Amino acid sequence: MEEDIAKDGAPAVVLDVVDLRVDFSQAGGVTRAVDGVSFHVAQGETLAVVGESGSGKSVTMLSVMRLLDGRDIKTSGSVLWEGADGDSRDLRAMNERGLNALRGSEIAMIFQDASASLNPLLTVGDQIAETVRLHEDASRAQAWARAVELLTQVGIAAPESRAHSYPHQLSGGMRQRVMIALALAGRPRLLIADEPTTALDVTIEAQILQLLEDIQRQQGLSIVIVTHDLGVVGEIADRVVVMYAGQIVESGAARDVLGTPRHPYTAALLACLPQIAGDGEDESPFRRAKPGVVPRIGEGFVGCRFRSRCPLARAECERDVPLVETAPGWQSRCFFWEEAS
Amino acid sequence: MSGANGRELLRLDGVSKVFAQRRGFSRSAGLRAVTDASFTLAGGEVLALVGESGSGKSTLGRTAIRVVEPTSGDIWLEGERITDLDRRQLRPLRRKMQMVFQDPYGSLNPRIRIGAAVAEGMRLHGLASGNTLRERVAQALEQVGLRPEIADRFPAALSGGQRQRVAIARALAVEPTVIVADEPTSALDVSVQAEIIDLLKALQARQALSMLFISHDLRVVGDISDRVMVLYLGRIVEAGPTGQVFRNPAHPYTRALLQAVPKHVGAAHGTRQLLKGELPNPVSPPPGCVFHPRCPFAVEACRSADMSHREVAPGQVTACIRDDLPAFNARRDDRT
Repeated sequence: MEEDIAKDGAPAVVLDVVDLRVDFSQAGGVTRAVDGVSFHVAQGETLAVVGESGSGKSVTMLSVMRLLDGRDIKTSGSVLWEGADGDSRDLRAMNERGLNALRGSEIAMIFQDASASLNPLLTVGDQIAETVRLHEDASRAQAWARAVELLTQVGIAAPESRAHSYPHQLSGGMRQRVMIALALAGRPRLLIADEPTTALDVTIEAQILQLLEDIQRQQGLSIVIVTHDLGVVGEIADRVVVMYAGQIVESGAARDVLGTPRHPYTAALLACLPQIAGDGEDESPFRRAKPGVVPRIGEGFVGCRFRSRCPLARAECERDVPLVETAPGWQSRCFFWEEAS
Repeated sequence: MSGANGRELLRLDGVSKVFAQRRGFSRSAGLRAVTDASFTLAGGEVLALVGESGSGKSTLGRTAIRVVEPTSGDIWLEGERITDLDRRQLRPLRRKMQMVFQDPYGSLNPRIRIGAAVAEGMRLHGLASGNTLRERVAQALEQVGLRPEIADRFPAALSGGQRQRVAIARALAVEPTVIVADEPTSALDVSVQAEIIDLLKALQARQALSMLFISHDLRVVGDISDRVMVLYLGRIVEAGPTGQVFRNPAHPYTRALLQAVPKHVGAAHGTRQLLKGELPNPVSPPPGCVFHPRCPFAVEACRSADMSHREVAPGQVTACIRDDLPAFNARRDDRT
């Protein structure tokens, strides 16, 4: 990892998303699902993208991977990828062939529902071996050996015999481990994980988060984790991007953002999170910030999108709010960010 | 028996549920979903059943109100033994035992208007009709923070949070004695989840709801319940007042669950205590304490422990035989 540290001491940026916009055209007009989202991912770091349903977090990552192209979908902006060869490419400008070469080998993705992503008719060993052969020149025997090695790496007990199992013979936690093994088969430099632990029990979730951390430490890869759970962010993320109604409302170091949020929406998310201790009930005003739903953003929407739910809202909030730097590397889209904590 | 103490609403004594399994033509050993569960639910109390998938929490919750038939054991509702009542005898009691489910999308008929869905129970049990029924529906909706006009809508026009409110209104409309809520907030976004929890708390404060609250989420349970029962592989491994159990868990499994909960503040990376492996097969549970194969504190005697409960503090019981566990640290166990 040392060689990846740039001259100024900061780790090299592997993914740089600039001013990403995604519009869905529907019968009722245009919905802007992602509106001017910019962020970067550095080598070896874990970035969390958090938000509730409708925040645009999943659409953002799907469109980064160009998995969203369609007639009714218009996207703009740039997604710069620092290739292993040192070349910088805009994923949005690449052709489908170039993209396919990149997907899985340099950038891999895992999803919430592992059972829907696995082929029920093939053993997990066959599926991983097939993926290995897609990415490297290997004989069947070599690919199988690598599949067993990957299963070992993701902590599957008795990997030689488990490789012969079909997905339905495995538990949810083991299937998610297999998904991670599949993602690692192409030796990616960036892993995008969309709610990877949401369907799992807490003890299994803890195991999977630990596994992701271990893999990151061993291989120095970068991780983007998309989640609705601030607990997961606190467990695993170095930096966090909080999204609301298609925009980034706050971003910064996870410790800072979760400790002393600088946007009322982040504060509201934290206040809504039930505390395990039960006592010392916090009567944060932000817990009352919840009624209402994420507004659908069409053309002509002006002003702060959170204002209808915000306890800090006032007349100024009817104007559009820019994302401002409140401290180095810590941004907020709120005029009154100092009052959020 | 609880006639003298009218506050005891529901009582289970040594309830077990074994699901028969067939393999080919021969019957194989059954799946032991719940083994020897005993507890009481008092008026105005929220009792949480927590555990992971396969722990038996949903089966136990449903068996408690005879939605699932117990294999053995006894169930009393307001002092009346309901274990052997047949379907017809049970019907008038159904009103007293209502359920709220996890998926507000699956639990409302998409072709039935909200008002009719809420009215159905009251109509079936002959509680109201005509204008009175209409008024009662409006009241039920208002009670859960919905505008009465919503009665004319179909479920598709409602958000997940609104649907869950409707499900709660429907359950409350028939004035039940006991509500079994099975993961009522698990399918919702955090802010909506907080909304529903606040609603349940407000209803509970206002009308002394008695509820079995089934959840895998310890954070939610900590927020809403008075008492908690922790299930593992069909066994109640620990029970007691929620705050006390969460502060001083006496069973290693409760500790492991609490430590596994993702924490958003003060989390030091890389120090989490992990429970090894996964849940064993409930068809052939391990002998002795069912948790011993995964337990970091297991000793030889655990292989033959009978899992009977011992009291460790007023109202708090554990099925663990070890009374020498180190002090609990929410982050991890230092076994030195």
